[in-house]
This record gives sequence, structure tokens and C-alpha cells, in this order.
Amino acid sequence: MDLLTARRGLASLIVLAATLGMAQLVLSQARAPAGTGYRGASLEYQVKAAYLLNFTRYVEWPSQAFQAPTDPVRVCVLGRDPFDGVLDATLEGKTTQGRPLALRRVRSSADAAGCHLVFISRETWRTLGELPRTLRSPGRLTVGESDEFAQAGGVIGFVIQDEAVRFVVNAEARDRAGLRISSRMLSLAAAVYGQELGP
Amino acid sequence: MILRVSFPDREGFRTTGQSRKSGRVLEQSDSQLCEGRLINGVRGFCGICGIWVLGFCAGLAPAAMAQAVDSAGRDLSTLDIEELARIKVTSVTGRPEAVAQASAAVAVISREDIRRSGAGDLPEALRLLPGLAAGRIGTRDWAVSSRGFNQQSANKMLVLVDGRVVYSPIFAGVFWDVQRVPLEDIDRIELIRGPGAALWGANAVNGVINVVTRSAAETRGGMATLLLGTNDQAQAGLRYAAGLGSQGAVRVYGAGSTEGPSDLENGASDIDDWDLGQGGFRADFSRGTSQTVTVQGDVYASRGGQDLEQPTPVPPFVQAVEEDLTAHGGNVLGRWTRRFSLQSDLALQAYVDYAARSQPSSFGRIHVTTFDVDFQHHFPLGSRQDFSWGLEYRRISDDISGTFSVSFDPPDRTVDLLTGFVQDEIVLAQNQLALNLGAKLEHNDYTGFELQPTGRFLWTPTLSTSFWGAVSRAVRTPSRVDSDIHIVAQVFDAPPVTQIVLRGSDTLAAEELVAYEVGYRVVPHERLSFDITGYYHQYHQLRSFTPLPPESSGGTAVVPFIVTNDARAETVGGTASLTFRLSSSWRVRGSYTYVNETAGLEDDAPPGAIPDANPGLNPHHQIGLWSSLDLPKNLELDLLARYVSPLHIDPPVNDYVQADVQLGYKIGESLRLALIGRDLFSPRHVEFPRSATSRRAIERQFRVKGSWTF
Repeated sequence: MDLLTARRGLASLIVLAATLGMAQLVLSQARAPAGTGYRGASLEYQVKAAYLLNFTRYVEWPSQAFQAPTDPVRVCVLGRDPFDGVLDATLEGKTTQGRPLALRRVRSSADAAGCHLVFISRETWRTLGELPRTLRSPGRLTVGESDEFAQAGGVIGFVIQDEAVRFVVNAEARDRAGLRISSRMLSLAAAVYGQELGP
Repeated sequence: MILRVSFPDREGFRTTGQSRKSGRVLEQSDSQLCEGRLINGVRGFCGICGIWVLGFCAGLAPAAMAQAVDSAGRDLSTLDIEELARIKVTSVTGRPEAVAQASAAVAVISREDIRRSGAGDLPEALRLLPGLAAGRIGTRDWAVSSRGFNQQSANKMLVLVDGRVVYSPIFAGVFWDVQRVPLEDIDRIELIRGPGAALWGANAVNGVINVVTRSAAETRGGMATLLLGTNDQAQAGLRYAAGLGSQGAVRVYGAGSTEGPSDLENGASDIDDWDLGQGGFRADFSRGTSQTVTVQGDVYASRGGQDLEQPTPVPPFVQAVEEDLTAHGGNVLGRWTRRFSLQSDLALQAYVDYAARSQPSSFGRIHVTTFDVDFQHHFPLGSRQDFSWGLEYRRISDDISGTFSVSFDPPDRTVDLLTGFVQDEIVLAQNQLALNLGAKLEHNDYTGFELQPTGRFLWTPTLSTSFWGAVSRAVRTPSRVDSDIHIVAQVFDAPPVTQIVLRGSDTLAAEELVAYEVGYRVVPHERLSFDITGYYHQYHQLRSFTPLPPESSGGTAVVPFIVTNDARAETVGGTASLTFRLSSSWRVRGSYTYVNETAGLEDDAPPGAIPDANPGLNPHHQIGLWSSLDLPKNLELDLLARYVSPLHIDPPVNDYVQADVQLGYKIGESLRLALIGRDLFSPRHVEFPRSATSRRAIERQFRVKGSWTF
């Protein structure tokens, strides 16, 4: 193919693109101001919020984690909150194991003292680097956003597998925290670390 | 470089600790990044080449929404875990992108990419990988290489299928006509451009291609595929996978394909038609969450034709012949992985591969049997280091019958290869800076010991940007061709009758590369990701041919050349790639690759030496564009265009622009149809020459493909 034919080829490609409205769309996207994001919450975080609600239903906390039978299950987001309101909407008005749910945002691990479930976003985790000692104490279900998080001592780590949100469980951390996780939930985990070999 | 795989693999987290051989690159095509790889430093790498990866993902969630509902309008908060796990989040808008974190030039294409591209076989799918030059020579033959040095027998690439080496040890290149893993069974194809030798060993000089198939459990049920195309193309495949016991699954498959000959430039038909039949199985078992066992195998048989000109010892001294090519072979591979603790695991893999090929007029019959066993272990050293080591032994036995024009001395040979590697990842600054040091020491029968070290760094100043750099040494050790070949290149009656011959040499050194690489990745916006790499490669002791004094035997004069190591080369180049998700249903990708190769002789080369290099076979510029659009009513439209600049050889191969189109239609849950057009911009074009004087043309092609899952 000589250069002329090549140019003709390129020209017909552009025609093809324009026919599909590609050119305009590219332009309009390029003009959208940076940072405006897109409409609607990220599906990933909608799903993760729903998972957190489920976790509160499948996890059994040690009895000393609650002072009264009507105490709420306190779900906390440590540091940066990536849910942008979705978690509030998901937990609102829901109950779990006969208890109401309460959502709190905490700035530091020290503030997380009364939390039953502590969610640690990727960015928070990045600044923490490791799991603070206070979060390893009994009665605390820590949920992060990576396989690595669970390997570093977190109880549950969300992972993306096959384009879907899944989770892994660190059984050692679970036992240390005195938590019991239903076998149904465990069977749906993408992996369970630190567990004795099965039969 | 590292081999631990902590990527949430479909093969399971359980494979964490799996080897580099079936490792996974961190990044799935564009956006499925490595899920939280690095934590206290550097654990986690998802590594194809074991390139470690610090991966984190920018958790940028966009504007709030009062009620979270899925595409079916269900309130997500009412769904159970099992249902949540089925929602695809990355294929839908809203997946925050993170910057990929590998200290090497990596690219990955997924099963979905391959399906949507309209690729009909493995080499066509390779063309989707940014930075790889894949030129089609004819119906059957391809030239595939990264970073220059391309030719049909390109010999500086390591190609693996599920951890099994598939390049031929005879010439260190790949017979692409029998590497046709069924595309529906492929999970992903990973490419590392540049040397991966510190982890992968000899021949991983210019790049590593790793084809990873899906586990048996992932393909449960049945699937039948049928493809019909112009140029007498037909492909049919059938596979079925079922559970086996409580924690296992097994898959069997069979496939056949046929395609007519390609055209010559003048429109006449060549005779390089081709048929292939193959079948195989894969079984995966797990025991608890700590152990997995995989056993898999394939058999194939193929036939085709080609014409060629061969020298003869007596008049007319050169003869045009048509030969029937046949090839058959098989392999069996077993792999066991065991996880001892959260940060310590090991993997053991062994395989046997048999490949036979008959080209009666070119080189006779070749039989090659390869046995390989590979062990790897990984564990932490303190809190800031992650250590891996491994050992591998390979034995290759071959037997080559030879012809008048091409023969081997000795005709059969067994060689042993023993290698060991170490690799250490060191975190210098938490989540910011990490160093990767590794080396492979190998002993081979041709050159003795070879050391192939690498040093790499990854700097991640923010969640959305990363810089990396690497300096590595890699070698290509001699193959049977280099060491033992005897070629009668030309016979003519001077008089007396004179033969020009080429002889291998058993005193060759390894070809050596020192590579300097840098890369930058950025995710400036959640819909946009950009990756650029640059490199400078310096090669020494490359193959050359040196004349020896003329000889005379029985009235015939012989002008011998011998294989030597007196050539050198430099390449400079880079690849930039961009992914832009314009909307939830439309993704556009683009890539640009530049390469400039210069070759010459070493300063101390003997007089008359000829470098075995042809820089003109590498296009300086390659551009690829790919638009993937989801249309209403279960339709998908993919447009792929590529530009390849001229090949500066004599006579030159012109530059070209070509486009492929696939329109896919999904009917219900189980049936898919696709209309495919390939190379649409001209009736025929030449991509890559078959030889200095012969070239075939690739025809415009139309295909229909259907697949049915049951």
C-alpha cells in the first residue's frame, strides 16, 4: 500500500468514526470539567455498602461487645469515606440480629473504640500502612479493600474477582477478635486465610 | 521480580504463591487493577514476570445517590451475599481506576477483549497487545516479537502456555501454526516487553508472552463454537466441564480448524493451506484453602503445504519443490501449590512436552521431547522484605533427520538446563518507594554458567501516578541451530561445482542484552488511564556469519561460513497506551509504538563477517485504535484499526492501514453470534515477507461465528 492509499484508509476510518458519533462524543467528554465525576454513585461502592449490611447479619460478636440487648451495631468508616452517602442510605432503617444499625465516621483509630465494624478505605489504608493495635482488639470486625489488608491482619478484605466484588477472610484475625462468622458466609468467601486444612 | 501471585485470581486466591509461570500480571487490560497489592510494603505482586506490584486503587466515589439500585432496579441493600457477588462492577461505569503498579512494561488482554476483537486464533489475539509486533506472513505463519528483532524465526521471546515453554528449542522461535489454544478457554494473555530473564531465564530477552487458560471450574457446563469464513476458513470447537468430587472440576475439549491458502501479491494463490485438530483436558482440585493441584494436557495434529526452492548437489543445482508439512505433538503438565501461612507458600510444577514436525524438503523430520520440573518458594524476611527463590531443571532430547540442504551434526542430542533464581523486594518508604533485586543463575550445555540480574524500582508518589525504572542483563543462549546446523545455502557450477555452506559452532557465547527501561503511569481521571514506557537496549555477541578458507572435497569446492558472535545492535523505542471510558457502554483504547534498531559488527569482528540482523523488518511506527461500544438490544460493536509503517527492506514492504470490525449479538443467555470483517481496507496486503524474494498477501476476510453454551 502506498502512502496515498494509506491516507485514504485513514480518511475512511475517520468517516467511520464520525458516523458513529465518536468524534462529537470525544469532544464533549473532553470538555467536561475535571472532577465533576459522573452521575450516580459508583456501583462498586453500592455493592460494598450492601455487603457491609450483610456482614453485620452473618457475624456474631462476643457478648461483651454490647452492653444492652438493644444497643445498636455500630458501623464506622475510618478516615476517608468513599461511599459518599450510599452507606447511610443502605443502613438507614435496617436492623440486624434484633439490633438497630448506627453509622459513624471516625477520624482516628482511637476514636473507633465503640465500633463493631470498622471500614478502612484504600486511601486510609495507604496512609496507615499497617493495622493499628487498637483495631486488633476483641469485638472489632475490620473490613478493608484488598487481599493485602486481610493478609496484614484485617478480618475481611474486599477484592475484585471476575469483575465482581468478592471478599477474603483472615481466619486468624477473626479468631483473635473473638468473632464468629457463619459458615454460609465463609463458603461465599473468595478465600479464607490462616485456616487449618479442610478434610 | 517476583512470582507470588496475590491477585484475586479466578484460579483462586489459593494460587497465591503460585509461580511466575502461571502468575498473573497485575492489571487486567485497562482497569481491573491490582487489588490492593501492597501493604506494609511490597507484598503482593501480581506478577507475570513476577514483577512486583504495589497496587492500590483510588477509591474515588462519585456523587451520592439516595438509593442504591442495580441495573435491574433492585435495591441492592436487599440482596444477599451470593447475589452481590454476581454483580459485575468493573464492566459498568463507576469503577474507579487505579494506576497499575508494576516495575516493568506490562500489558494484558482479557478473555472479554479477545472475544470482542473478532480474533480467530492465538496469533491474531496477540496483535491486541500494545507494543507487540505481530506480522502475518501467510495463512499459517507469523512473525511475532517485541522491541525489534522480528522475523519468522524471532528468537528472543519467551512464550508460555500455562507455564509450559512453547518455543522450539531447535531454533528458539515459535511454530505459531501449532500454538492454537482455543480462545474460549483463555483467561488472559500477558505480555512483558523487555527482559524478564532474572525470573524467567534464558530467551526472555525481548519479552515474555504468557497465555493463561481458565480453570476447569470456571468453565463448568458445555460450549460449542463454530466459525465460517471466506478463504475457506472453518473452525469448530466443543468443550465440556463438570465437577469432580467436592472440590475439583475437569474439562475436556476438542477443536478443529482449516483455512485455505493465502494469495501471492499478484493475486494468484499460494499453496500454504492448513488444517489442525486438537484436543485436551484440564483438571483442578483443591484441598481446603491451602492446596491446589492442576493436571492438564493436550494433543494436536496438523498439516499444510508450502513451496520452496532447494539446492541440489547435482544439476540443475536448484529445484522448486512443493512439500507437505505435518506436525503433531502433545503435553502433560501437573502443578501443585501449597500455602503454609499467610506470607509463605511454595509451588511445584512438572511437564513433559513432545513435538514432532515433518518438512521433508526443508529439514526432514524433527522430534523434540522436553521434560521440565520447577520449584518455587516464597516467604517474608522481616517486615520490609519479601523473598523468593526457586530451582528448575529441564532436559531436552531431539532427533532431526535432515536433508541435503539442512542437517544437524550430531543428528540427535540431549541437553540439560539447570537454573536457580533469587528475588528480594525491599520497601524503602512505606507505600511510596520499593526496590526489587533479583538474579537468575543458569547452567546450560552450550555456554556453561550465565548470570542474569535485574534491579528495579517503583515510586508511587500518589495513588494515581507511578514511575518505575529498571536495569537488567539477559542472554539468549545458543540453540541447536546455532551450535549444530549445517546448511547448504547455494550450489552453482563456477566451475568447479561450488557449495556455499553455513556451519554451526560449538564454541559460541550467549547473545547478551543490557537493558535500561523507564515507565510512567497516570490515571488523571477516573475514566482515563495512560501508560508510557521507554527503553534503550544494547546487544553484544549477537549471531553473525564468518567466512572460513575455501575447502575442496571430491572435486567440489566448498565456501564455508561459520556461526560466530561478532554482531552488535542497539534499539531505542517506547510504547504509549491510553484507555478512555467515555461512558458505561463505550471504551476507546489507543497505543503507539516506536522502535529503531541499528545493527553492525563488533569492533574486533573478523574480516568478512556478516551480522545476522535485519533491522528493516521492524516497522518504526505502529498505531492501534480500538473502540468497543455496547449498543442497545444486546448488540456490541467493535472497531479496530491499525497502522504499520513500511518495512525498509529490499524491495520494501509498504506501510498499511487496516481495520477489523466485529458486530456481536447475544440471543438469550446461551447463544452468541458475531459478524466479523478482517483487514477491510484493501482486498489484499503484505504484512511481513516470507523471505527476501517471496511474500504472501493477506486477504480481506469475512467471518461468521456462533457460540452456544449449555
